[in-house]
Amino acid sequence: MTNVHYDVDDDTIAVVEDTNLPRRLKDEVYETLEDRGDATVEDADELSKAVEARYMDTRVDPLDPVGTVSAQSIGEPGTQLTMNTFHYAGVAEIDVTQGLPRLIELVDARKTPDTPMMTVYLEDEYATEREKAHEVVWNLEATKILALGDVSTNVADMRVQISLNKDTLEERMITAEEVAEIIEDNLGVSTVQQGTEIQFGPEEPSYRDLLQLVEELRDITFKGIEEVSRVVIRREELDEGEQFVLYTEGSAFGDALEIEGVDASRTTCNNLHEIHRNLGIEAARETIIEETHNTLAEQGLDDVNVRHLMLVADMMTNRGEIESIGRHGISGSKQSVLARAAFEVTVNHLLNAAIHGEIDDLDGVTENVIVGKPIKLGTGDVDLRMGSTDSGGSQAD
Amino acid sequence: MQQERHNRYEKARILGARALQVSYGAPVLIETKQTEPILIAAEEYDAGVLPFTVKRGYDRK
Amino acid sequence: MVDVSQHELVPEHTVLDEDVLEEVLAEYDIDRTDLPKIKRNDSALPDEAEIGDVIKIVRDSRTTDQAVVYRLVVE
Repeated sequence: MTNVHYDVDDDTIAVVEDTNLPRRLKDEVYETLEDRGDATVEDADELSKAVEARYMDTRVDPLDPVGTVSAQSIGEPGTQLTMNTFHYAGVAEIDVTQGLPRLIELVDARKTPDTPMMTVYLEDEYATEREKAHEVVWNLEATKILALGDVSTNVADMRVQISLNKDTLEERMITAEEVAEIIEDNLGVSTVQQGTEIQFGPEEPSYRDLLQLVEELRDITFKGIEEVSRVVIRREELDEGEQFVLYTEGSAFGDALEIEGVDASRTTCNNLHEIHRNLGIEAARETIIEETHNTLAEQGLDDVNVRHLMLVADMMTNRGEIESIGRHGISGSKQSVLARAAFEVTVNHLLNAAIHGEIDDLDGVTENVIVGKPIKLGTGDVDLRMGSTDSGGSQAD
Repeated sequence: MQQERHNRYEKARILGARALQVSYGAPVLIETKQTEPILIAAEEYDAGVLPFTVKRGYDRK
Repeated sequence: MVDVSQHELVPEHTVLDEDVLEEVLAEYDIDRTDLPKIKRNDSALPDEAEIGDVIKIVRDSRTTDQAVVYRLVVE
């Protein structure tokens, strides 16, 4: 199956093919040799030997317990993480869960984080002009009635009166007519609007209904995204130059991407599920790595090798959806009855297994520890035979 | 063909197996001043005289 | 709708040709069901991808410059 498409002589091919390199690395060696043009067979030999040595060194040994090593490598620094949900660190004055609680939240793949947030990057002139950036802010931040004007109740006439602030309306780019319309749609009442004054009341005069209306009025989002309670605007030095960046408290990633002026290629959020829904499983994997790494880095523990975090992220996204680590996710879906029973709710698992006549193949670690056999890892899985003549099949790779 | 270098687990397993044999009185295959079975096994391993084969991965079944 | 593939978190996804796939599976000595999965409704999936196809993903890697991985499209 050796078909080499590169312009190199047969001796060189023989030398390179003789190494223990995978196909793609061999091809890359050929490519390099081809580019050199004047490389001799000796050069080729030296190069491929060097590449091979380097490749063998970087490989994980067969039988290495990589998962266990990752667990320890993340777990140990984990003991030094803040156990409190301390806030206000990092960027801007935004409240962000950090330390251990955040790490747990990530590996548990919670539906919504404790403190959801988005980092919104802007496009073109929105990123450079403060005015324009503010336009995006108003489209993001949920605007409630109290931000737009004063609300008073006239108990004598059973009316709710709103006097809107003209400047605020202009700044937030919403008209009094629009406000009145939104109130009608949401509360199902007819309003009387004159200039910046809006009036409405319950159909039947009722003190209770009146108060109820005021209550509901306060909850209406007139502009922006319901979930976003606050936006902080910051000027930052980026690779692209000085730009405005928005940090939001609360997130609605899908909605935010649609807003004019938002750079849909850089904007991110800290909710894994929102990333997964909008950008797919690969982006979710990337976010898991990024978020776990940042959580550790925030506490000065970023000397944890990323490979461990990558392994965790790979496991969590292996089935094409985000799975948590723990009873409801990866550990709960283990093949072996004994392994599941050892983890939690022992009796239930054993009972169910007995009822269904489940068979345990004793492939995993836990099962073998339970029955007292060597585990299939490290020295426990070396298959040693007496005699140096190998019977059947040579050591191919 | 000479078998590919053993990794650390294979080496440990081979040394352990050989040391056990030596401690039970198996004839030592080299000249050595060592008296500890595990050290004898290590010297034998380095000399490349141990008659063990490690079956790996897919050609095991 | 925003173009998801333009986002910097989303690596390049392409549907792998059947004959190239055979080579890949032979190289790793695995079945296609051994590959990691990707859901049919994943936002980053190319439109023409069907269930049973294998997607080639070229990531910018943290440990080397580029890493190639494969995912099988499932329900």
